[in-house]
Amino acid sequence: MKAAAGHTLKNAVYKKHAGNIISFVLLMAGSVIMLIPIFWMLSTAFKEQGQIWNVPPVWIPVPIILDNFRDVFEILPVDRLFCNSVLVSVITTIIQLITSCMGAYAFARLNFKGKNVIFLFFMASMMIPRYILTIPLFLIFNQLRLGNTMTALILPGCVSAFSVFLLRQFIEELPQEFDEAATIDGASRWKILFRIIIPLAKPGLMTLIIFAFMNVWNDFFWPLVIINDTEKMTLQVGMAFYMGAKKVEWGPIMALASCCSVPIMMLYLFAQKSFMAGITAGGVKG
Amino acid sequence: MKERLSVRQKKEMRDAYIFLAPCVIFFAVFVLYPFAYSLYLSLSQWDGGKITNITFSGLDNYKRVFADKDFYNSLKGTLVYTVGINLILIFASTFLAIVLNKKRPFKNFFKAAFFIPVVLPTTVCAAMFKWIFSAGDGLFNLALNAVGLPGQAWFQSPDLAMPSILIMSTWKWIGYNMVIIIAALQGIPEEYYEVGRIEGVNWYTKFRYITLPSIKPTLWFVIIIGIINSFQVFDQVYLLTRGGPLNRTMVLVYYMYVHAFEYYDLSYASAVAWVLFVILFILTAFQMKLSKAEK
Repeated sequence: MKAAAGHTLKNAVYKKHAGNIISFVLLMAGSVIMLIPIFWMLSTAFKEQGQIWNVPPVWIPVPIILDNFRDVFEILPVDRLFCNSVLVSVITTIIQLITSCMGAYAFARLNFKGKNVIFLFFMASMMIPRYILTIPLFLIFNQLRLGNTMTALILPGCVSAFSVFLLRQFIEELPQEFDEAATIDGASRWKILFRIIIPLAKPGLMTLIIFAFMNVWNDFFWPLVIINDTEKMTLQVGMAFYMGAKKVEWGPIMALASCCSVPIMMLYLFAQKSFMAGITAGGVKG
Repeated sequence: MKERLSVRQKKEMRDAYIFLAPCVIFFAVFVLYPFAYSLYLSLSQWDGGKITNITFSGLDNYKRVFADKDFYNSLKGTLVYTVGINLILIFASTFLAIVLNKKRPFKNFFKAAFFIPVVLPTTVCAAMFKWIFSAGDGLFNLALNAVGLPGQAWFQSPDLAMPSILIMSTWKWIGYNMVIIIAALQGIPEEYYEVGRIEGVNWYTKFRYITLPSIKPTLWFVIIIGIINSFQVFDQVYLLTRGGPLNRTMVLVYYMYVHAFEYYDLSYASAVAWVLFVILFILTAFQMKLSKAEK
């Protein structure tokens, strides 16, 4: 009897162990599959022309060369596109940060007529798909003679219902005592927002900054529609433009793809937690 | 008696409107106005010249949409993509989340590996997959050859183009759902499983009666978001197949894009956009109702 019990226990432990090992192997294989495309992109970007189509594949390029980057630069002003992307993403993020902080503070802390109606409007607007706005925005910007400009790239991203929603949640959870005390001391609401709320809401702001930046940096549809000049393109549009060229050369394309993805990957490695927090906070479209 | 506001309350309201102003102005100009404008466009005819030469034409554009074979084809493409990607993702990411929710060596590495494609631009992902899934000696074909399978033309093959796009989208989005589901799993009280352990139930019973009911609202949420997003698939199609080969990967937003920005038929394209919006709206409303009923 005792032996049998011991046997089942041993069996169970063994089974659990086997399960863990199988899961581990599966996870390992899965991760490798996930990472291969990224590795292959970087590897191709630094490869000699002759090795690109090599069979069997050359995983680590020897020698490491920069010719592919030079080739892209000859066709596209990559430095210019890079600056455009950085400028548009940074400016949009800053403006969105300001509008969201102010709006979220009003929704979270102040009482005013129409609060619920306005908030409901904001929430409902999250249901409006972006593509439906693209055609009218295209017309509006062209009528204002702002088509094909950086302004057109920046303005539509300056307010985000999701960011307002996210920050409002965050501010509502902060203790009210601090701003009450400050009000008694006679501080203005601006002072309260900038001196008390914003410093306390830093983790929420971090998430907002990262998502705003990522969404603008990765955006493709809007810049594709509104920008015509090579000089004014963002990296993403430049990438599509280059991929659509007649002669497909993977070395330079992967070099350009590396330029497009390295900043965002760095940002991710630097702020993993905020990325995950943003996603769990309410499912944003990436 | 009319309620009178104190000076302090009045000041609070004034402040609130000032704080809200930037948000509301941007919102009105770049969301509400274009939204209404697009409805107006869809109900009118524009001769392509000056933008002031717009005439109201009632439901003509909508009639044209519903009479167009290509519209139904792109609707079909969108549905195939939406059903495909959401089915794959819900099973794959739930499985992945459950496996990753335990204490494991290298757990954070695994999580990061599955999540990293989510942050990458779709253009980059498309370029990678176009390269890896190249016909002939592409990396994926080489891998297939290594295990004795024949290589394929993937994105250039009418039958395999859509599955290839689905593979790429799975790779891109699996980590997104995974993170949401892991968060839900972590919210399940440990005692539930404790009870299960004492009762000696097997993994399936545990999954069916403890895990699944606890994360059901989250799964609904993931599916709703998934459908909203996948209904609007555009980047992959534009970058990889342009709707081809043989129109097999034609989807609604790409169809709209072509009519709007290649044929410059902006009013017709707006009608397409509104049809798509209404379908999406009904779908989501229906699902929300369903998920509420489930609760």
